[in-house]
Amino acid sequence: MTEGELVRRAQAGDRGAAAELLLGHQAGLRAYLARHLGSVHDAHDVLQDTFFDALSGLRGFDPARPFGPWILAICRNRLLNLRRAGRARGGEWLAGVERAIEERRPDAGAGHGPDALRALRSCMAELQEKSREMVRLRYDGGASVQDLAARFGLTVGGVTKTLSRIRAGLKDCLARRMEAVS
Amino acid sequence: MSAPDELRELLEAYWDGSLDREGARRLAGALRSGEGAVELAGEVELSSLMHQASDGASGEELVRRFFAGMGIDGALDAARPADAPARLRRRMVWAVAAAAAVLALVGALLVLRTASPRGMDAGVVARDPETPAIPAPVQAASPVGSVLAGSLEARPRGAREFTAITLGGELSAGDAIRSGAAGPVEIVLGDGVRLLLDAGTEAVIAPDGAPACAIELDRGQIFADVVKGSSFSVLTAEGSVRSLGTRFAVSFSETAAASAPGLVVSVEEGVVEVDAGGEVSRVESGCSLLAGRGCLSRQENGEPVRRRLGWVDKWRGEHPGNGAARGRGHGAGPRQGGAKGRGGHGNSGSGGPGRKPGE
Repeated sequence: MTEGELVRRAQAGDRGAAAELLLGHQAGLRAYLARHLGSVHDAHDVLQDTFFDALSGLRGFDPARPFGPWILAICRNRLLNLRRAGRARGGEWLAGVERAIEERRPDAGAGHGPDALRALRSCMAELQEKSREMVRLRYDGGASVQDLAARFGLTVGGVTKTLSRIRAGLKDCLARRMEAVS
Repeated sequence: MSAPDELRELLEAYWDGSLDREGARRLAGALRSGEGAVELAGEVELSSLMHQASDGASGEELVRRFFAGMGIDGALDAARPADAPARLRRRMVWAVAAAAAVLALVGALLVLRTASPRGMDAGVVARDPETPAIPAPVQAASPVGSVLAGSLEARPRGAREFTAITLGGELSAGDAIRSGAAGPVEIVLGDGVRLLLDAGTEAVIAPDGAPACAIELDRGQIFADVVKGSSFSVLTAEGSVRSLGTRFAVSFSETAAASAPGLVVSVEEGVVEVDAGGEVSRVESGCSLLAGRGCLSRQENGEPVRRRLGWVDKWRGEHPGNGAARGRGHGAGPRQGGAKGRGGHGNSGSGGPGRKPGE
């Protein structure tokens, strides 16, 4: 079934088609949110709000158009709302960084493949305890760099370097695992 | 500091939401054409992948959670009939478009919130005529709370069946309650505790051996508004949370993925005390505590920034100026709207006001 048909069915009230549509795009939306948010919890909130807005506005959507860019635009608006709600300033200039990141990723909607995620989880599990804890707090718990600095007795620069070093190690590990898979 | 290090700091600040205008300008410029742009973009990509690898929730789980939150069950079953042939028989077409269903749900919640007890008796809480009456062997217990908005199902201590409790229906010590998929439900306990239970939440009110104003949270998430001078405790399998006049949220899942915390406590206002396996922590406003992982807090301009609770914010948007999740300064007494139309535990077979036999 084409995406346009799924949209038509969802517009007619077929909840299975609506679920299929959301399932088909959630990975790309999560990848997009992961590039721009530091917290899994915030990402889940934005994703749920995006789903809500998409279904609420689905009847006005033209099935001849691609669904992906439309729901991504909704997601982007929700992200902007989150930033506006979190602080009185900053929405506009953070949007400038967001655009720059997306320009580097023309295929932003693709998401990451299951092999890469599996391989990375395996690499993360092999990190030393302290590094693993820092990664867990940062990426799962949404801890800020300042939180981590206070918790691990480091400066902000020290945390940044440590995270960068951890990422460099993970990147090498990931490359090795993916090479083995292929 | 070398240029790449500085840019990495800017990138981390971007993810924290703390980047200032000048930093944003420099980071955006570096990402577009500056020295190390490719390296920086690589950091973004790997970080994105790590973010997803740390996320214990599957895509199906998130979509299922979304539909459950909207009061729509089985959407994924309908989407995946080949995976669940038995469920295919239950597949049905929406009577209205998804948007209409969402609006109808919101409308129904508003009706439940504003309807008079007589109105509730007349229609909304009518017992399903095909459901056999349930015998009433259970001794009535003294009510310790009631439903202020929405509906839930409760099973009195010693009873076998859950029955529906709607606006004004009473809750007693030992009641097992579950909010189902129909969205948040608001209840009041004691004299100063309002609770908002998210969809899919299961709990026991004042379980044996616990303080009178306490609940055992078995799964799901709650938001509590405890007036100053009142005490309230939340008990979970991973620890307990005690509050003396504050507003806070607790979520708990025994089946959380290994990478995700089971118990999460987020304080919006005031201080709570968390006892996780004998390790007692004080969690303050703007801080989220992930059991076993310590306290995470965010600050901006010296002020704590609370973790966003999307489901509570959504409820606030739909119920402005009222409810457990209201902002301070709105609403007054703890029993607003909940004093009438309540049903007792001893008459579940009659489908009395506020309570109807369940499944």
